Amino acid sequence: MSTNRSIVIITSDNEKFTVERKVAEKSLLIKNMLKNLLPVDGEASDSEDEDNDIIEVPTQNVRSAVMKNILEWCEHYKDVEFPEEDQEDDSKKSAPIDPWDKNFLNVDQEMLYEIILAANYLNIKPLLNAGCKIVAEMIRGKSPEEIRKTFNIVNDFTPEEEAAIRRENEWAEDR
Amino acid sequence: MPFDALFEKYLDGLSAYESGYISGSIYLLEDLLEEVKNYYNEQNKLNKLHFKIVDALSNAYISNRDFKKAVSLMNEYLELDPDNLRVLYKFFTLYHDFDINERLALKYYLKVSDISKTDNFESNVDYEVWKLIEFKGKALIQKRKADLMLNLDNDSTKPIDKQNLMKQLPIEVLKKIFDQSDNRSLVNILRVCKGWRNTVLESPLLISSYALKSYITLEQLKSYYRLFDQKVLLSDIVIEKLSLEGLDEVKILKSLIKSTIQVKQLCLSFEDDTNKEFINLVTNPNAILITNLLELKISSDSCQPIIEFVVPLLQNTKNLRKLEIFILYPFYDEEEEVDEDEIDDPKGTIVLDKLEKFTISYTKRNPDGVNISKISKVLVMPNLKQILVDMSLVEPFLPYFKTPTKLRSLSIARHHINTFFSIVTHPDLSQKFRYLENLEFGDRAFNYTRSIPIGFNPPILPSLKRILFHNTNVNAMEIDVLLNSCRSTLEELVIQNDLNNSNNLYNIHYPAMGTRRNDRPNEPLRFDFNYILKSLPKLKNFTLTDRNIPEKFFTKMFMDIALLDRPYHLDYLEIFNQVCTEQVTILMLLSMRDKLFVKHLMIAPKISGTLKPFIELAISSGQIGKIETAKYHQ
Repeated sequence: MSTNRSIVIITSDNEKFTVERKVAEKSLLIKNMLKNLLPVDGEASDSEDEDNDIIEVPTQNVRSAVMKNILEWCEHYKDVEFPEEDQEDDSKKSAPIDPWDKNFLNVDQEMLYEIILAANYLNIKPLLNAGCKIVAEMIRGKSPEEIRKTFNIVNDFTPEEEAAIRRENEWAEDR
Repeated sequence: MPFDALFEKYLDGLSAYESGYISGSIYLLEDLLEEVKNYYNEQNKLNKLHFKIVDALSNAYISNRDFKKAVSLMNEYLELDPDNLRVLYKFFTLYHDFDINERLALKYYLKVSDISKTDNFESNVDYEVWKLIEFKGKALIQKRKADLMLNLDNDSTKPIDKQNLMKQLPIEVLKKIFDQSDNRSLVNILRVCKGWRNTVLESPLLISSYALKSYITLEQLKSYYRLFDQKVLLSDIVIEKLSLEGLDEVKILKSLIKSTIQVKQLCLSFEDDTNKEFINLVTNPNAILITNLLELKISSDSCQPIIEFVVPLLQNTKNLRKLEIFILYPFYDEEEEVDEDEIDDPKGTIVLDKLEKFTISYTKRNPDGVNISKISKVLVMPNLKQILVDMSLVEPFLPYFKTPTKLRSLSIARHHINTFFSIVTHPDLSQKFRYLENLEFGDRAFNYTRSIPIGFNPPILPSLKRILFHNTNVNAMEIDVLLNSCRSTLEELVIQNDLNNSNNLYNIHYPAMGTRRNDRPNEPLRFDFNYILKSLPKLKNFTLTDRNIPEKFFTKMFMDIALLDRPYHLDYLEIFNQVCTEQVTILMLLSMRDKLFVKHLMIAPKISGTLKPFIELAISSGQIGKIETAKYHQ
């Protein structure tokens, strides 16, 4: 049956990952690619030979270390159906991060960015949203100095510029 | 490939880009570009489509912040068509607005400015494009002159730290992060370093996340302009949400309208003595602030301003998707009923054909139906998908349903369930509910003293998937009758109650639901979970969180679950009362064994102590997918 068939994902550094179709289809990019290549279930079944074909999906923008993480996420959520984006209301937007996701994304910053970039490229919205929430949480409640520390950034404003910027933010201050 | 097919593919790529699916549009357009290049090589003639593809593809690269690819793509095209103003303009904006490099931006400005000196340039088809570059280019020269004098130019082309998320992540992703952040965090982001600051100030999309407060002074508004007017045009900015409550400040509104800033969601509050000048401002058809609105929320303390001011206001809001009207009486008025004057009939109708969600809330206990019905007579909302009504009278909002609507969701608060039945069985209206998927009843809508007539059969609602009762004292017989209209389609049933209303829904001495006897029409029934499971084949999600559930009911219910005729499977389950203990939860888990399989179970107590081994057992045996403690319960 075409739904159970395995997909081979090739990363930018030419590593191959073999996964179940429904795991790979957590990525809407891959799902749409497969839609053009493979028949949808319920349609007339293919001949034996065709079923034995290996479907290879190249993903030029993702390296294997990142893809390994992405696929771990897809595997964990393979049986979960996520609601479509436009049906999500504000309450969902402010919902806390799923504890499993939070633990999953507890990686160094570079990997976090790469996972976010890959989720964006592969079009995996729930993972992208979780990643963005983690970054927003890293920023929330921190002073500019604390943010610099968190993200390892050098303060390149002169004291005069800093004073000018502080005045500029008058519109947002409480009176 | 024939030209039509190429063009079709181009449109696909473009619509993928416009719907935010950037990587998909790049994939399509790159492919298409190859084919168009072949076309060029064969004919040795530049095709108009070629430019269109380059244009769209470079836009997609730019929004992915893949500037290298955008540059090489545009350079390649310039070799074929060296004086193409639009491509030169693209280069200019790329260096002016995105991959900031003022020197390169200037280079392209000067190049275009040379071209503009050729003869007959005024008849060039792209004359307008030149005007755009000229405007921004002149400003750039001014700015550079000033910068050179102040010697501030050193850092503008310095590469930014590798650890800089603002540089690494595409604007759309940053926008998602910004939407999760509060105003305070966003202001702090501007103060971190020049790289972060520039990324924000150069992007209208990111600026739009900065909310203006409801009470803002003119001085504060000016400082907002000063901040965000630095690198983008104010008219490019679309603010997500703006509340104007201090409407005496006509000056603020005037300034906002003049700034040509756009707003997605506007909240206004009107009073009887609202300033006439204010009204003139918002009803001016040239006020972009108003004409481009997507969401409008209006509150007032009586009907009169709504009809006098809002009706003319709505005439200009043709793009509106969401309209919310709140008529909020101060509660002390309820005792000494204030009579409203009857208002003259408003003239004509207003067609809001893009409106998808309409909310009306009227907190007066005995609302004045005559005036409310006048609002409903004026508004025509043919494509409405969602209606939310919170008021205790029925007739005036009926006309809304008379418009040819494919209603998906209906919420009614403070209404008797019979009201709903009288709407769906109304001959003019019943057809409108064929698409209804979501039905919600809220806040004390039910009163157990009345009954539904014997033998009443509700009409079938063929799309209904979800029913919610929130703080109603619905009884089991009413639930049963309502379920008859959607047995084969219902996927989610939610009963929530945090009021004390000694509901007899859970009296274990009453007969179970589904056993109503015609010879005892007024006999109360008991809620029965097993009956719900058995009679709703598509049910996936079930919630029963009611503070009035007695312990005895739980015992009876869990025994019933253990006696189910076969295993049942749910995606989501949440059952508890105010004081749900570990013991009750353990009892539930034990009773579910081999009878009820749940992917996501929500429980009341914290997962610890005696409960933990039971949960681990349920998860390891595959009985339960995951268990969480409901936050709001603690």
